[in-house]
Formats: sequence, C-alpha cells, structure tokens
Amino acid sequence: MFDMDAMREAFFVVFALDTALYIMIGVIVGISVGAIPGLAHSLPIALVLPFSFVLPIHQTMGLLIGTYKGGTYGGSITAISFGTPGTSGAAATVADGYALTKLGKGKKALQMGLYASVTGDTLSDLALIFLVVPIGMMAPRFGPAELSALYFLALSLVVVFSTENPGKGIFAAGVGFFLAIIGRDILTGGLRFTFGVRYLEAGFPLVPLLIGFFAVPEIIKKIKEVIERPDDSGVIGEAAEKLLKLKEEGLTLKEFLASWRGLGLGTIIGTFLGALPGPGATLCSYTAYSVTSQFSKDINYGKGALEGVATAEAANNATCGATFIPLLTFGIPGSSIAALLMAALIMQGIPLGPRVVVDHTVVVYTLFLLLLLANPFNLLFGKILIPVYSKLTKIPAAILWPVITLVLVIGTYALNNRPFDIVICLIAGVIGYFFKWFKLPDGPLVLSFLVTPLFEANFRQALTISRGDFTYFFTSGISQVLWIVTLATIILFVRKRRKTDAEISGN
Amino acid sequence: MITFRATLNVKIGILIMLLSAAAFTWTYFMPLRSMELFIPRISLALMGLGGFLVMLKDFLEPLEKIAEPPRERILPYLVGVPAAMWLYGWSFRNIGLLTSTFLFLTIWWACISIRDAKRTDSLQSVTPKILKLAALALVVTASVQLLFIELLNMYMPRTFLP
Repeated sequence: MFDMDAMREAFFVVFALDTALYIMIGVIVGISVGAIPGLAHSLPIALVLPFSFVLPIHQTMGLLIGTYKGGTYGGSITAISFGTPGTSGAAATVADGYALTKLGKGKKALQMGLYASVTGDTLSDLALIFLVVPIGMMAPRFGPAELSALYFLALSLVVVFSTENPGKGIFAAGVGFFLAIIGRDILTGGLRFTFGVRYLEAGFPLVPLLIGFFAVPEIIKKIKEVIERPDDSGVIGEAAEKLLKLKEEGLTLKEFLASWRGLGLGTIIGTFLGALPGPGATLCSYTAYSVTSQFSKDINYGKGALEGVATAEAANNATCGATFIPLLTFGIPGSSIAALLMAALIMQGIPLGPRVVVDHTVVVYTLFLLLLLANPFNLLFGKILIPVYSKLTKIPAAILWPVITLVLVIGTYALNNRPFDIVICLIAGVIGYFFKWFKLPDGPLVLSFLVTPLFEANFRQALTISRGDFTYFFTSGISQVLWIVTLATIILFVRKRRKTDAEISGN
Repeated sequence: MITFRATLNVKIGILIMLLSAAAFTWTYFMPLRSMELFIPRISLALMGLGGFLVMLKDFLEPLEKIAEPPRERILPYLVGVPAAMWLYGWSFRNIGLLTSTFLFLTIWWACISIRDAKRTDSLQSVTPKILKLAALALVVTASVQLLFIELLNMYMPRTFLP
C-alpha cells in the first residue's frame, strides 16, 4: 500500500540542501574515481562507509548512492576516450565508444554515454519503485537449475552474436572459461591450474584482467605509433594550439532518439538481470550489447555506432536501481557494492528483508527519492566533465599515454596493494594484444570469465540436488523457457547468417 | 568444396588445436576429481573446437574473402612495453613513488623531444621544451602522490627515496 504520509516525510528529508550537498560530493567522487582505470567504485564507497556512524541516514545514503551512480557512469569516460574501461561495467562500451573517438566523434560518444546512463538509471529507479515487490517475488524462483540455464543463455548470446566467425567466438569463450577456473575449486578447495604460484590460489583477479586486456594493447599500439610514426601521433608543443582550436560537434536530439532500441533493450535487460543476485553490471551490459546487435539497423554497430554506446551504458547504469530490488525485498546483496550499501543500512539500524517496506516505509521512500535525485546530479557533473575529457583525447600521444600508463600501473597496484596484480595485468595485456591482432571478439572472453564461477557453482549444486540427474535442468517452467529461448536464438542466428551470406554471394 | 590452404589463420588454428588437445590429455593425469575438471575440460574442448572452426573457415571460404592477421613488426613492443610497465611497478615500490614517477616521465619525454628536435632540425630550442616537460612531470607526480597516497591511503612500502 502506498503511504502518503511516509512519502511526504521522506520528500522533506531528501529535498533539503544538506542532502543535495552529500549527493553532489558523492557524484563528483564517484565520477572521478570511476574514470581512473583500476580503482573500482567500490573503493570510494568503502572509504565513505564509516561516515554511517556519524551522519544521519539520508546524508549517508545520499553520499553512497551518489558515489555508486557517479562511479558507474564514470567508467565509461575513459572507455570512450582512451579505450580503457574505468570500471569493469564499462568494458562493453569500449568497442563502439573508442571507435567513435578515433573517428573524431568522441564528444558525441561521451554525451551519448552520459544521457544513456542517466536514462537507463532513471527508468531502472522507476522500475524499482513500481516493481520492487513483483520482481522481488520472482528472483527466489531462480534456483540452481534456472540460473544455470540463464547463464548458459547469456553465454550463447554473446558467442553467437559477437563475431562473424563463430570459431573465434567459441575460442574466446574457451579462454574466458579457462582463466576463470584457475585457483581453488569452489566446492572442494582443490587447486586447479595454479602451476605452483601461490598468488593464483585466489583465482585470476577480475579488475587487473580487464585493465590489462583492454588497456595494455592500446598502450602498446600508441607507443609503437609514437616511436615509428611520430607525425601521426602529434608533436609535443603543438598540443596547446590544437586544444584551443578544438571544436567538436555534440550529440543531437535526433541521434539520441535514433538509438531508442539500444536504450530500451539496455534498460530492460540491465534492470532484469541487475535484479538477480550475481550477474552484475558487466554481464548485464555485455548481454544487452549482444542482444541489441541483432535488432540494430546501424551497419556500424560494433565498429563505432552511437547505439552501441547507448545500449552498453543504459544496461550498465540500469543495474544501479535494480540492485536494490533483491536488497530491499530479501536482504540479498547482488554484488559487492550492494553488500557495502547493505552494510551502511544495517549500521543505521535498518534490518533488510521482506518486512522492511512495512516496518521502515520512510527509509525505503527516502532511498527511492535519493536514487531519483542522484540522476540529475550525475547528468550535471557528467556534462561539466565531458569537455575536459574530450579535450584530453587531443593531447599528443607522446605526452598523454605515458601518464595513462603510469596511472594504470599504480591503480592496478592500489586495488589490493598486491604487486602480483601488475603481473596479471601485463599477462592479460599480452592475451588482449593477441585477441586484437587475431581479431578475436572480447565479449565472449569477459562474459565467460564472469559467468563461469556462477555457472559452475549452480551447475554443480543442481547436479548435487538431483543426484547426477541431468533432466533436473529442464523440469521447471522458467528453465524450460530459458532453454527454448537459447535454442531459438541460435537457430535464428544461423538462419540470419545464411541469409546474409546468400545476399552477399548474390551481390 | 574444401581446399587446403596454409594461411596464417590455419596455422594458428592448428596450433590452438594441438595445444588444447595436449592440455585436455594432461587433465587425465592430474590429481583432481572428475567434477573439479568438468569445466576445465569444457574450456579446453571449446578452445580446440574454436581452433578447428577457424581453420575450417579458411578452407571453405573463397581465397579473396580470407582476412589474414596483419604481419607487422610488433614483438619488440609486445615485450618492451610490458617490461617497462613492470619496471615502473618495481621501481615505485623499491625506489619511491615520487622519484620513479618523475624519472620515468622526464626520461621518456626528454627522449621523444630530442628525437623530434633532431627530425625537425630544431635542436637549439629543445632545452626549454625539456624543462617545461620536466615541470609537467612534476605536476603529474604531485597529483599521483595526492590522489593515491594522501586521498586514497594506498599502502606503500618504506623506500629510501620519496
């Protein structure tokens, strides 16, 4: 039941100067830290968490939500400008975003990233408000068998959609699978493929892997360019003159609206998957990106299309609101950031679970309003920072890339204060270069790396429950639907590929 | 019709197949339970299948449609850049963050400036340019210190130099 008095109380608490100030600080910190590769936005959230002890709940949550939203968007800035995702969730933005920057449309891509992020985020917040109960009821119906089917679907989508050569997609997924199983077995604790390296026992860390995979190949390429073709990479000293002359075209309303498919699919998939515990922003954005590739009419999709940026960013940010669905209804944090937000609420004396909406209605409404209010702040400060970043890309490579390289090395180290992470980052960089050189798609690798631990845990749990009976994976209605969707998608893809091949041969 | 072609794709495809087949066989000699090796075996099988399909595609496609990977000289950069990054990681933990950041940037920018000056025959104006870049390196170093050490409290081992 909607409680008008509680809403009024929450409204006056949220729409106050002090709350706005804390949201603003959070958004600025979030965008700034999110834009630094290596520094996951869970880091500033963890840093501001102790404030929960001294600040009232609306200020604490304003600060945390602002940081969360700003950080989720901030990752796309470097993904678009330098091909280096600031956060893992922005990895899917690299393909189209960075391609647009190279085409001289970096400002358009950055604006699209911002507007899509805010749109996806706002719609997901509204979905949270209206669907918190119905979606929350659906989430626990996903048992191990259903989740296995869901993860299999996500993986199949990315493999079949991401490349024109299915062999390359399958190989990339295989590499992702392999990297993900390095370390301790999730159930027995046995060591798998650690080759006696103690640091690998905890597994291949995600953030150094992503930073290395995306950033190091680009650094190698740029350094090679600076050394071998100095005239193309910009001469030191011309930077200031070039920057003053810079005038890039911004995004038009028509271009923004033309990406409605990507925005819609990104928001829906981001909200749906974001509401389930486990998938996270990276998986959501890659899945949405792959699905949209089949519906997009833009022939440049994947090679520099605004719709690609819109899809990935809408899905990435749509997880912000959706994360609160399992958190508020069942007290299940879907990601590490959700766990931090949950910790802040618990420290404020809010026991999360099915009764929170009834027992703490004002707090829940306050959270809803804070989530909505953080979006205009994200839009405003994102807009302020876009010109800065679009100008940064015009600085000669000889000046800019060494600075990025050093920040990247320190950022990778700062994550866990572990020197071995730098080694992982460099190994991932060499793998990333091979992928780039051999034109292998990055989506299947990243997605299978993320999905494998979840898939394996659920798959083996399901087999344990069913005592080795594989029919268990097809017994429930949800899993049957998911398997049918997987099969239908693959058939659709094969038919579409044959049709396209026939058309090309005909021409 | 299948026609055998020894393209670079085919060679890499065969190499991937051989490596994954060898690793797949190796899993049978590992002291792990079959359930622990279930996903690793799937991953190796997928890699092998991928290699096979990459190879097959080049056999089936018309010759003019085959896209080969670029054959450019990359190995020195592929080794040199990660080695330099590792060296910087080692140096800021053992020499000092401020010193190593400043030195790395200044040395790189000085080398590039001297090379550019030689190319454009403007060696007489290179010293002020290097000094300006050294000042920029100082600003970047100070920003790095401020962000990672002062603001984010990054752990740094004790070093002889700052």
